[in-house]
Amino acid sequence: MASTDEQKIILVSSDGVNIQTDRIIAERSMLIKNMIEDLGTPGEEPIPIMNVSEAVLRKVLEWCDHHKKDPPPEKDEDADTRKKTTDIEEWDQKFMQVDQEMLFEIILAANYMDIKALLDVGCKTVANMIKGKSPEEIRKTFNIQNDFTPEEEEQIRRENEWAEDR
Amino acid sequence: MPFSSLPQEMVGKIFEFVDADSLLQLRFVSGAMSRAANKQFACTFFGSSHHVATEQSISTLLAVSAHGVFAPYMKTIMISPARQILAYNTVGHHDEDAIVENSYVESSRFNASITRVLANIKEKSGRVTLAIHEDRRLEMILPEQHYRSSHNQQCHGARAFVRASPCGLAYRTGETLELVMAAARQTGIHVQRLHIQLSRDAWERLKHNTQLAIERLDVVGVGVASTNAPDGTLSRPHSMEEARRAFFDLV
Repeated sequence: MASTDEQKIILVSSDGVNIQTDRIIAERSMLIKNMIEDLGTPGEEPIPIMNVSEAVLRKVLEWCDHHKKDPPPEKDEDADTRKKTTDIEEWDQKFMQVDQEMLFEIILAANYMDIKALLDVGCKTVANMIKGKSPEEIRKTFNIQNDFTPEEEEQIRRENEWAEDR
Repeated sequence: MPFSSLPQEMVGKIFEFVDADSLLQLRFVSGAMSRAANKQFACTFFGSSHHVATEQSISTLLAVSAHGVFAPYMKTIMISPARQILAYNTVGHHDEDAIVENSYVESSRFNASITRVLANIKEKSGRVTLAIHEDRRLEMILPEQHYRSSHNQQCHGARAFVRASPCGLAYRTGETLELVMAAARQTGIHVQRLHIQLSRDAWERLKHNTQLAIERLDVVGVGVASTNAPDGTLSRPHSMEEARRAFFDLV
């Protein structure tokens, strides 16, 4: 039997495409890692990834390949230190230079496939697109309609004042 | 897949990485964005709520505690014992010599508001830490300064408060402690534990009336902690370095 590092497995995207990859790469996804453990016969049965299309799955696996040597995430990593920074390492920044559609698909796939580090990178990328923008600029960036009534807007203004007068 | 089709929990997750100023802007974008930002907004600004004892600031605290969405995220409420010094009676800078503006706290309005705040908290939030803390950073605010620290730990209403106090600040810790504890009792809140965190002065150097107020409190466990013994001991406070905070854990 081949060592875990060299084992190949086959994933099936939501649009029915088989993708062969290394077990060590795919196991960045806790979803896949758990499935392999449950199946007990890695490599023999293709693993369906129900919610992720081929294009997105290939992109996600590209990230997993680059990060396959990363130390496994510490359990219960200090949520505060994780959130204080929106710094993204250079390779990840380049990786995330995709259109918004793909960016959101990656975030959803990372969430579904349980790849915490990728989910964080995706969320930070969107957070950085929000930073320093006015409400109108945010609407333009993400193509969002302002659906507030004047009364609702006034309510938001009042609640923000509770936070601002400090 | 446009932004608006992301599930609300996912948008909420993204907002965990957004800074405080951007959160305020996000709330104006749209109804869906505002709802997705509610949790992060509440945790950031009201999770730890510090208020000077002025009518305006305490009424804000009351409004937040009455808010169905925000109140459950309130975890720590700190009431500052700072009072404005309007003039000095005699030479010297002791509280006792000064004319201290205390009319709002002595009025029943303060007590009524705090009682309502605690009643709201009891109804909407779980376990809450109440604190009376002589936050000395207040003394360092310039009257015209509009500031917000990265941790949102500063007192709500501090700017107006400092501007209106021509001769500096006095701290009425004992009085504030007793009033807040009385309000807690009135509301039927059970104070589990009193935790006194010593950070500057020795117990002996605490103002006498503060000592008395702590001793009079009807709390079974009184813990004193210093930087040397951070977990504290459940014994009567005696000789420790500094006592500036009294924390109550409420159920």
